[in-house]
Amino acid sequence: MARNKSTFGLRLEQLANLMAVGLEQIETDYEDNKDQTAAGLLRICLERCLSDDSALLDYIQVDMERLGRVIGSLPGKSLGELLQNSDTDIGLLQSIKTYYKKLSYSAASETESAIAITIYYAALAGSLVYHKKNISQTSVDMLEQYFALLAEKEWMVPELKKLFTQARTIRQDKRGDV
Amino acid sequence: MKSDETKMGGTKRTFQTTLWTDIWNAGSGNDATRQSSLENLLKRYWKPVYCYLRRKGHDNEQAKDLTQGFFQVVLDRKLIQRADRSQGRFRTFLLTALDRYLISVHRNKSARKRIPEHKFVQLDQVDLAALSGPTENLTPEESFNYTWVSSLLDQILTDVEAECRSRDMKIHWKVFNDRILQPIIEDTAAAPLSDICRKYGIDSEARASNMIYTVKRRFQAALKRHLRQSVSSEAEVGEELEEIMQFFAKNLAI
Repeated sequence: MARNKSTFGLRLEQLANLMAVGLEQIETDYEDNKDQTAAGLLRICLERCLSDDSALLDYIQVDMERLGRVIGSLPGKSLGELLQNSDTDIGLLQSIKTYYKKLSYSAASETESAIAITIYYAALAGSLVYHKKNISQTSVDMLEQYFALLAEKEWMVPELKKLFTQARTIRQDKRGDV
Repeated sequence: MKSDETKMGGTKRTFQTTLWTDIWNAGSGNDATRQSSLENLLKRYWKPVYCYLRRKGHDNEQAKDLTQGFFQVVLDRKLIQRADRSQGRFRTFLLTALDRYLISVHRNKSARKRIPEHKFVQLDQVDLAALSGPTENLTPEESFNYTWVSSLLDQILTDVEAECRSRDMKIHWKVFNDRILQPIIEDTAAAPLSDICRKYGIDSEARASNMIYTVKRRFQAALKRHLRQSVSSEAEVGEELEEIMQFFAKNLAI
């Protein structure tokens, strides 16, 4: 049922409290966990539904509409699910790639930047593994080196380690295809 | 990675200010544009104008007539031509114009002549008595600001709820409503997150917190979007927020 009550008539303190919702510095799980390991932060990013990351969802939605795709059930899916699913649209992977590339420039810490870069490369790895396409301007040779470096990180979560490893080996199996 | 980002705009960037556009269209556009622009202006501002007039000492009937008459004056091309959007906020412009209108009416004793036969706002259908209560201890300017803030919050909440529903985020809205909105509006304690999780079948409190966080971010975005419509630069968004907080600080300190 839609809200049908006006705020008119509330006391000033109540109006001020409502306005404060629009002004407060929001503490998030992400910000609360600055001391957590990169693995913990990466896990949060991968498991959070798109609908819980409005900035990412907005970005993806604009991209998908531009490509004439239907967003459908995407908001209910997590980033981790999308990165590891062979059915994920390559346009969506490109959108995730571009978003996290931008995010890596504005990250508040080295850890956040490392996570953004990891997801950026995970989108590239997914496009290689599932669509046999390189969606970056970086050569596949160079990508393989980056994937190797990332896969060796102690904080890398197992599913992305597997994805990076698959992306490295896919060309060894089918030389020259990508 | 190669950067493909560009630095866009700056603090002096001028917004496409819808309200200023509306005031121009209301006075000069074709009939359809004029009607739509006028409705937009009225939706946002008739209540603050009416409450301001009541606090200025006008009785219900006078305030109703003056509200109708004022919006007729807003449509007067001479006034529109005098409006200089570079001079700042729409709210300030409107309040100044309203004062000028009252002086003009007082001088000419001709308010009735300026009131159009077609009523812009169907004030007879509104519970006007309810509008005077919350503002009775405020000055006219404070009353205008109170009503303006209240209307702004109503628009924001309506927008955010609609956005949540259109994005299949109804549960997000319900969690925000139960945990944040209703406790403020009803003056009650917030329900424990564990209860809210049980009520809506949410698997963890962390997930419920994230849902609230998401809606708050949309609330913040809607607030800025609405403020941007009534100012002419990014800097003025900050000034507008500052002024709102000063209004609360001043009146809550009493």
